[in-house]
Amino acid sequence: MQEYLDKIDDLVKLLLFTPTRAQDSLNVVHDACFKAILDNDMVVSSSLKLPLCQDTGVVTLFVGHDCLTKGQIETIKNCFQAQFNLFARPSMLSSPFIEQHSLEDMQMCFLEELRDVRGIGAIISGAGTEMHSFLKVYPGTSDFSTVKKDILTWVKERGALACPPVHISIAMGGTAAEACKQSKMGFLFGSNMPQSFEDEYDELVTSIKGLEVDPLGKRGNWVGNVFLRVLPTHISAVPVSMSFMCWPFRAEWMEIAS
Amino acid sequence: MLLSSGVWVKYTGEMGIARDRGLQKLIEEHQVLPSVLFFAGPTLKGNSKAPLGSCGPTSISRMLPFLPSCKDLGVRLIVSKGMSKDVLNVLQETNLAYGIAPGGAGAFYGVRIERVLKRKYEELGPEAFFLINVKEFPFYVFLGGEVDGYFEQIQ
Repeated sequence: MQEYLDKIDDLVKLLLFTPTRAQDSLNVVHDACFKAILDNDMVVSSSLKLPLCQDTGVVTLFVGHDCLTKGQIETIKNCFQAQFNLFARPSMLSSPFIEQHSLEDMQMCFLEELRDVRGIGAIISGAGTEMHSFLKVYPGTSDFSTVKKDILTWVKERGALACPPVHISIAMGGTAAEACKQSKMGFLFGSNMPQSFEDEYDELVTSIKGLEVDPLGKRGNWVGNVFLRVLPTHISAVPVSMSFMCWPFRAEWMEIAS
Repeated sequence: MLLSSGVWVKYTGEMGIARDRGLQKLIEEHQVLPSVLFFAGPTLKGNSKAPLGSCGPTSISRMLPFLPSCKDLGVRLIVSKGMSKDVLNVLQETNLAYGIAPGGAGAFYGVRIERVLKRKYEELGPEAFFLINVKEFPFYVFLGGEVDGYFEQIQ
């Protein structure tokens, strides 16, 4: 278990101050001033240990293992939370709507266990992207073009609100809950689809890249990566979920050798 | 000063920070608001260079119901992030100037805050109200208008 604990400090720093793929987002910034601000944001963040984005959001912690006990996983989670809360904004409340109180510096993370990989990772969900998540369950008689049309409409309406440059991850199949989870996991592990989907995927990416997704309303396209994850599905109910990732790309995965 | 649309400017002077519950309370209490209002929620874990910590813009879309009252209480320019048809419609109806700051640039904007002059509703944490002084605080003028203050165009 020690190898998991040893990675927590680096994981938190990567998430908050120096996300591995934030720099890649700048390739799709189409405005010099905007780019200069994001560039400078990264410099200030890493030098002063100020979170790159003030919305340190709600975190999902991923622990991939084949031998940890429940107690050990709880320890890993607690250590992560303690380290994260040193820098994070107190964004979380105890409950939605009723009898709310701030969790202050005792914010918790949600935990996902993975059994086919070894490592530790996390995804930050800020409100700017979370507000624009998509979930719809289609009848089994629907076709890809219907889903594509809905996705394009959603990205066109919402993409510019989700802190561009944005990255998009779509999951099709599974259950509604699994599709939501897999759409997030695309940001950690990338696309995962059968070869038969590749042409449709390419067309979908081309169409998304043709949309106006511009935070300054100048008709540009500020979309970076588009991931697609495909799962076996129910014969009559096909869930499709889509998540946005904001430009800092706060999704990190650190492998642990077996 | 008349702010022109479609240019980047940097602002030096006084501005308010508010959002969601804090903004709602200000309006319910009919507080006089500064002419420049930044929709943001700082981390509140600051240092000598960033008194409120990381402090980038939050989404204007959640604040749309409050914009007419903001105008009535003295606001002339909103700085925030996000643009959509709904946002544009409300801004045009209320005749407020709108500056877009890059979302996610919390550290950058955090160090543009020179001093915190006043704090209100601190029990709301990052949704509290702050009156601050900023120096060379850049944003893109999406909708221009007449706003008091020192603005410098970025070439």
